[in-house]
Amino acid sequence: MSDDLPSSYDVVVVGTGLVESIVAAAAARIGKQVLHIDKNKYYGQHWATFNYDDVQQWVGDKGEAPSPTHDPVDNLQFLATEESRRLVSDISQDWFGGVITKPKEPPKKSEAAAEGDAKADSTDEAPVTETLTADDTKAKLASLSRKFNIDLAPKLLFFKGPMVDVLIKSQVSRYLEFLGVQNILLCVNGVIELVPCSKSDVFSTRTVTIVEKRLLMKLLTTLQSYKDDSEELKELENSTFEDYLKQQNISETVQHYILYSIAMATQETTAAQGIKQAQAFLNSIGFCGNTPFIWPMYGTSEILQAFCRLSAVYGGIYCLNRNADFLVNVENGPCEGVYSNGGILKAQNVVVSTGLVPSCYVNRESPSECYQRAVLITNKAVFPGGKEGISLLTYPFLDSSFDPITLLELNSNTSSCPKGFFVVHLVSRKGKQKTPYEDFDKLIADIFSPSGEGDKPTILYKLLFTVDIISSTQVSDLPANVHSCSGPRCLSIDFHSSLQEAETIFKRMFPDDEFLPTPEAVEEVASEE
Amino acid sequence: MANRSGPQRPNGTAQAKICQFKLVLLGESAVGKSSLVLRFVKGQFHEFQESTIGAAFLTQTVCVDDTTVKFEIWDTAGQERYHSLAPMYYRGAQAAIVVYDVTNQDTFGRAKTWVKELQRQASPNIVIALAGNKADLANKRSVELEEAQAYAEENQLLFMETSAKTAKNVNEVFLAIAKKLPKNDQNVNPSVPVNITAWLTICVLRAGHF
Repeated sequence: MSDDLPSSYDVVVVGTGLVESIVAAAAARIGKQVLHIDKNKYYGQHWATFNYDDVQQWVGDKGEAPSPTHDPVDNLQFLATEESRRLVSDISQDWFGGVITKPKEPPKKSEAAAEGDAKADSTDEAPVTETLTADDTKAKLASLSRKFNIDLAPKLLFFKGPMVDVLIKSQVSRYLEFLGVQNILLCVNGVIELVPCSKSDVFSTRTVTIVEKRLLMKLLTTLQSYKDDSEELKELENSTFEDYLKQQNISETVQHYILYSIAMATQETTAAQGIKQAQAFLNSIGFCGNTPFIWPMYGTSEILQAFCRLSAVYGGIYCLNRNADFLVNVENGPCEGVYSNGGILKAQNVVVSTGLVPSCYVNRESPSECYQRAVLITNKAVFPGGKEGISLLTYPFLDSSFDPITLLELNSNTSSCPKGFFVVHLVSRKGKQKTPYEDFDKLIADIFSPSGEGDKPTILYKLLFTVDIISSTQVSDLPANVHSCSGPRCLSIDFHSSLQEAETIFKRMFPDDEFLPTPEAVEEVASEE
Repeated sequence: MANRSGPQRPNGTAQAKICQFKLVLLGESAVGKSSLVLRFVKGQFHEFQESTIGAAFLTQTVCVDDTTVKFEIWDTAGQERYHSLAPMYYRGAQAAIVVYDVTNQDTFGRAKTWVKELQRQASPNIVIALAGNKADLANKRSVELEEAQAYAEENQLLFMETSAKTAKNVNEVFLAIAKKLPKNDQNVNPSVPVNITAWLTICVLRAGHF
């Protein structure tokens, strides 16, 4: 073989998506020999975080030709992993002119300040502005490429959510840094409002009358009091959350706050589901500021990289830029392993991204989860009245013409962009649009302005794409020792479903072992403390 | 030191300043990265050091004047072997030691690549030290001291030949880095993220949960 990789493993993981990476970490953690490979040169597949140049490459990448098929040898059949059928479609990008506020450059350390990691905060005097044409923008972004960290699949963590629990328990959290989300916003009829989320917010908000405050407080308490699997909750399975809220004697504005921002629900969400979602939100309030969310610094890909590091720390072997084909016994037996770089790598278990599963196992008829994404680079915050920092905005369509759009705005503190810029992510369910992105066009017309009129932000760069995730439920008849992992489900804001999926796969492989246990106390601190 | 800033504490308490830094190790497999850390942190050396398993990172402190410098030392965990080091490894690193083996010219070539990689990927202010390890095997050397020194000077790197086995220059290289690091007040600024564990701990304590 062309390299010195060991030839047999407990688990070979193909693809470095989040689910795959969690499984790799969990297996290595309990002492299993793990090989983790990815055909790309970067971590994360559809979960990747890219700088601006990487985005350009990704947009230009039309997908590779399928790997050559091999002749069967000794009853073994090679099945090519496929990603030639791209899961991403309708990609387009555009650049626009606009005015940017240049960060004040402190003497000498100009690089450091723009990097956003330095404490060198500029106390701005008169802001210096720069007017860019579309071509200028293009050149500017290219020159600042590495200062952007652009997520294909941006996601947040509920502070009291299961992902944070696992990160802390496994101590993977030690590799990561987070920022709290500062503003929860709602845009209805073109007007952006700050949503009061906590009791203290409700108390201080000026958008709600005193009488309503009391009703809202009471309702928030009621929502939190429903017990899982209780009869009350079961009875609410047949009505919508919207109808439930309408019966609560609260104004339409407050109904919208709860329906769209707190429960992050749609008009179709059942009352039981809406209550559960509201609970997840409300239970995480008050720990990290006035919102329930935290954002991983440098982007969502950091989380999967942190799991990969845990895996490596426990002996997992990492190989990027390397393809693998499956090796299957033609007699319908178990998967023997993978075929990679001209050699056979035996494996007890193979874990693979659904996007790489040979198409003969994928049922494309069954409904898949398809969503639209936009990445905007802008020059101003969408809500100047909010706190400086990350904002999460929901943009519902009250006439139900489309599902709500989720907007996540990241400023330079997150290291997503250099000072003077913002990165705005849009996500919406694909389905009701007659032409791609027509719902985004409405949001953009409401919130942004090409000329910056009314203090609205200007879009300098716009990337659009549609993602069609293959869920592991669409994969069937795989050999029992092959486990498939879904891609990012961007329609839910958090990582919960991916974490559950990873744990399920782990339990299927190692039913008697603990999932990501706390490391035994490693003597770490040698000297005094 | 030009960078030492911050006025004396007004109340006159003799509280020593503590600064914490993330330091990453880079270099080819088997040049002795882990051995250097083990020597520095625990004063130990094992002739047949296993590839690193099980430690998230090690910490060790050194004192520079009135400041305690606490290093959080990250090892590659073997991810460098197949050129698959995750970018998160460099994130927020304020210092790096790029290690090569003085008896192996190839590892010196690779060290240069790592330096370039750091200059491309890491924070622009990162303090980089080049360490020619296994200096106890100088009779088998294939990388000349002068060659490495010239390269280090050209690229403004700290440079020492070290031996994890004899402990030669091991503490010294960490101390040299500690001296060069800017020891600004690391007051927590709410808009600047801090290490999540610390941050979560604060939040958790404050909330009285978990």
